[in-house]
Amino acid sequence: MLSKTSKPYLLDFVKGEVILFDKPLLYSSFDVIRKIKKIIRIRKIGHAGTLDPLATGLMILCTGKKTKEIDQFQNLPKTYSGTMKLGATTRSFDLETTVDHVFDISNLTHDTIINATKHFKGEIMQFPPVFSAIKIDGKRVYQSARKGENKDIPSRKVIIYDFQITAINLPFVDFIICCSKGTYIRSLIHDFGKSLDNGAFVSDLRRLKIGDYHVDDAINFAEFSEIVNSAEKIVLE
Amino acid sequence: MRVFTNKSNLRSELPNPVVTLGTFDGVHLGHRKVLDKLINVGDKFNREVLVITYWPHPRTILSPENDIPKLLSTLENKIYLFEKLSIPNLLIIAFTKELAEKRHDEFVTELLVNTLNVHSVVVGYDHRFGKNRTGSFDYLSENSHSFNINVFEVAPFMLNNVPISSTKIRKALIDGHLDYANQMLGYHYFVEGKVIKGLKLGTKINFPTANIALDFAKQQLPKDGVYLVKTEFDNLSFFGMLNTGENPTVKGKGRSIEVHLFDFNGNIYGKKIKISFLKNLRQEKKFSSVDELKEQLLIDKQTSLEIINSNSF
Repeated sequence: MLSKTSKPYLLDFVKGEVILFDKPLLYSSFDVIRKIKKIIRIRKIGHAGTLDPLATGLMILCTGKKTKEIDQFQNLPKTYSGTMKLGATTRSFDLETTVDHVFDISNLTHDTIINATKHFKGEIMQFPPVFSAIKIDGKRVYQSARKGENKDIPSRKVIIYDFQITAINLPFVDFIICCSKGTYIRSLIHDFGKSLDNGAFVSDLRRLKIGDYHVDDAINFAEFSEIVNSAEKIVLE
Repeated sequence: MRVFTNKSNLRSELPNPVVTLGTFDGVHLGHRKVLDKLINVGDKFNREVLVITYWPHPRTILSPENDIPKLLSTLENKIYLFEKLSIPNLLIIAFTKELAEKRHDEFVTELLVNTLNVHSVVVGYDHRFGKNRTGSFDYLSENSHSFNINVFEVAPFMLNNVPISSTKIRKALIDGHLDYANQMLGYHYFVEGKVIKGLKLGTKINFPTANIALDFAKQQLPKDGVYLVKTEFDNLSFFGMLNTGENPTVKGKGRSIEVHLFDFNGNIYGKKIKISFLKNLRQEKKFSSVDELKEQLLIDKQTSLEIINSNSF
């Protein structure tokens, strides 16, 4: 496992490494793979769960033979912290697209907001956002969405293990959510806004944990390059 | 860090920058959330980043005289804090009545579009601009296509369910909640002043003190009382105890700020001194005799040394 505490001389990306990576803002998950590939010049690499460009935080990357273990990481529950903005919706359910509807939030109280989380605990059904990487008829749905078409995406069952409101400063509400594989936080927040007869979208999102792996142990691009460089030096010596 | 005060020739230096704007008084954790996002956006688009700040503080120009806030940072301190956060470029815009009269659309077109040719702008959730503070993230976002500027909003930094703001930090300092103020700032609150001659009364009871004149009389001081402080001058650093207040025990002395430095013996008159407030030791109180005061000062010193040794500040 390549994390903040790893020893560079033990690295073998072909045989397989698991990397705890802290994705920066605005990079797509694929951007991350592409950039890591450039640094270590390896063909086989994958990740255990997409993070939206506007989200930051933990991604688990697997290289070489370790790509076989991706599923195992993918199935782990995930924990996110974030901020939603009430009183408006966007088509992407975050700020990748601009606001399309606004709502009056003057009647929302702290109690109604906190109580509304109850409807979203345990097993729930949700529709993935139209701006998502899901494929329908072999096409990514976000490609149709960008053209303005709306494909029917089937709803799916996910489990919300925990949903806590950590701070309220209207229109902003901070939350922590722990959920099963395949959960779209953007959809959850969109539905949360709806349940208040209002609107909501994700303003900030950070993945803190995948299973027991924590973003505090994850490395960024600079740290990754540094570890790889020092590993190469050791090999040359 | 490059500090610019003239925006007209900036376009050649920073052709298509990612910017943020704000007053940034105190450069607190909420501001740092904005600055982090600024750096992120700059990295991703491979653009120079630029922080635009106003000086003087808009409220010192716009507020009625009895409502002008004391400030958390002087311009010099703000520059120092930005530098410490590795901000590469800073533009200081003179805040004038004339600037305050500009409509928000004029402000954006003139400054962000025509003068700076901005690529992206990162704004804090509570940032307002233009006459009567009518411009905000919503306005920029709605018009991002016509301005050809990407717009990013930064949600508030919440601490104990409260969004951090410069106003809250000022209030915490005034109310005597130094720890809370320091927590919101993300560093120990500091002021800078000059050592001046005092009445030398402290020397008589073996607690010599340096009297401090603040460089900037408009800077917010914590509530009257006794504080554990860290002082810095001439690249030296000493812990000490500071008293700010009316000096109730010593008749006729009036309001002052004085510091007793631990393990220091020397003449520092006229020197520029930086004072960071680490811990509130106690409130200022009136003693019936100078001996009683001295006794209390010995206790204060003991408390201070314990705090320093246990690193609990």
